[in-house]
Amino acid sequence: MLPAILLVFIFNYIPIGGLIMAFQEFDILQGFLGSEWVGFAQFERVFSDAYFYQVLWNSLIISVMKLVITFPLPILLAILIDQLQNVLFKRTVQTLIYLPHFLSWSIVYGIFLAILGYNGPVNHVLSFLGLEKIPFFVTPSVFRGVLVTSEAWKEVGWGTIIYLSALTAIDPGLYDAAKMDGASKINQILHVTLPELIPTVMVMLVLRLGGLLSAGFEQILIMYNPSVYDVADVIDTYVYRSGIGQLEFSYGAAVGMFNSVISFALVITSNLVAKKRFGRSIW
Amino acid sequence: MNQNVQAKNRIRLSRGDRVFHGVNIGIMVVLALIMFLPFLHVVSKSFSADTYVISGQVGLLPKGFNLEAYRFSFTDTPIVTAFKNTVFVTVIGTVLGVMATAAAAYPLSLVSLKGRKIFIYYFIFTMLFNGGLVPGFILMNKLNLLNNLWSLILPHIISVYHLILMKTYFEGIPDAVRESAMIDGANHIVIFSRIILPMAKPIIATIALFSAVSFWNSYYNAMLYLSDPDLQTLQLFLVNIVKQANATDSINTEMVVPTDTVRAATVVIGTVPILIVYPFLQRYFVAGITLGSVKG
Repeated sequence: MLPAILLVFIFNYIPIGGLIMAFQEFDILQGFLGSEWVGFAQFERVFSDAYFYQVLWNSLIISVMKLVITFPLPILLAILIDQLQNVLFKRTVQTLIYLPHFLSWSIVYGIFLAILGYNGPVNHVLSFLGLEKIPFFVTPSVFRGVLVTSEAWKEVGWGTIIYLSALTAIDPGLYDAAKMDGASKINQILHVTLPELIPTVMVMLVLRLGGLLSAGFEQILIMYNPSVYDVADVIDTYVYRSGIGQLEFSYGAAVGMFNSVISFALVITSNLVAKKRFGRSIW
Repeated sequence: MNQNVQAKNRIRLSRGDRVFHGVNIGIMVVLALIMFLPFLHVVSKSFSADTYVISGQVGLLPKGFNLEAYRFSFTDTPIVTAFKNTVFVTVIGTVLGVMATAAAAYPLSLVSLKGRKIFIYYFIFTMLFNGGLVPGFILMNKLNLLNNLWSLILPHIISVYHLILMKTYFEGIPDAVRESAMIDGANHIVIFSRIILPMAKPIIATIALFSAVSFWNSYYNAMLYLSDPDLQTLQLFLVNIVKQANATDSINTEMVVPTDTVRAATVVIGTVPILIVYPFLQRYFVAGITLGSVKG
């Protein structure tokens, strides 16, 4: 167990301790001991920076957009997949929809650029219909949509697994009883399947809310570019560009610390709720 | 039995239910196509002639079939170096990760361990709170690990999520197994290596795959810590080529190489390794997810 404790100490706890740089004007040559202490000055800078609020808003809005689209879809799909009678067809569908989950964001970016790019099929169709071509990746008004769509393509299929396993746990007797009463498939879904799924759905939703500030760092870092910073720069990417890109270590650390503290509070709260209300939590 | 039930269902299907099944199958076919066609499109582009790609004439089948983009990718880009680096990081990271995780999960699974709760909280806290990018970067700088492939490995050897999964699995092994070995005079090291590990093969396979995929796919660590082109990983290379294919081409002026097709080819090359191991991934990942949720 010792190697694990040591590794976690060095690579997790030391950086947490390193957050004291958020209270300094950190100079990499002087180190933690030699750098000047500035109290909460970095945080005052953060909170008086209009761009910080923009970034915070972007994180929230992208996160909420993703939630609205990618949270209900897996539930719906799982119910539909569960109804498939032909085992081979069902397996084929599952095999196909799980696959994108294993692809890196670089690959997904490459694929989406091929489809949505200037010479891609989507723009080809647009111009065929007599509409103007859209440079999706550099147009602020549609870029968030690109983020949500690519996220959905990559993860929605994978998200069905948890619900599919919950669906297998439903007592078949319930369906039999509903059938006896002459319930149609749709009615069985509405009155048997959905109510039985609700506990799982609630737990997943509450746990998802814990990650509200994470809009998808790696995805955005790979896909965004200066022309869409206004709509797609999120906290994590801002920490990266200000803290490391522009060597404003202390400022970046302060923004990062804000993020960590709020996320911590969100996760703790959502877990407490999940535990209290539904008797489940991630630990 | 199952077929019997199905047969009965089929007889009893009302008209409304038949419509439901028909619509459902239709939705599933569309869904499968949404997942599959993008791949097909990229593959076609990678084998097509540039002129057709630029004019948007390549849909689902290659036009002007050729292998130029692949020849270019392998000979004129550092893709082979990138592959080697990623394989190194993935193999070493996965092997060390599984060993360290199993070695830590076993004592944590023992109720008799003193201070067990404290150790568990010690690990779980890091899932909830972290120092963020900047202190992590400074740490790597101070450890002299910038521009070193180990910077991608060391921080990710222990994944607390994997640790908890493995601990949960070990807890599911009946105490009687361990106790009878104790009576035979075995110590914990013998029990762990001779009895527990062989019984834990499914979880070890699951976690090895989990961690291999995350090492293989990880991008931002490499972007953060590595600037030496000889050390670039596959994901770093892919992003660079997809973002800058135009720039590289204008530097090699004598190279009249299709940019979109090269992008497509590198994406295909980057996807193939995942496709090869996908059957294993699907099997063990689904098992792992279900394990995590049942015990959660």
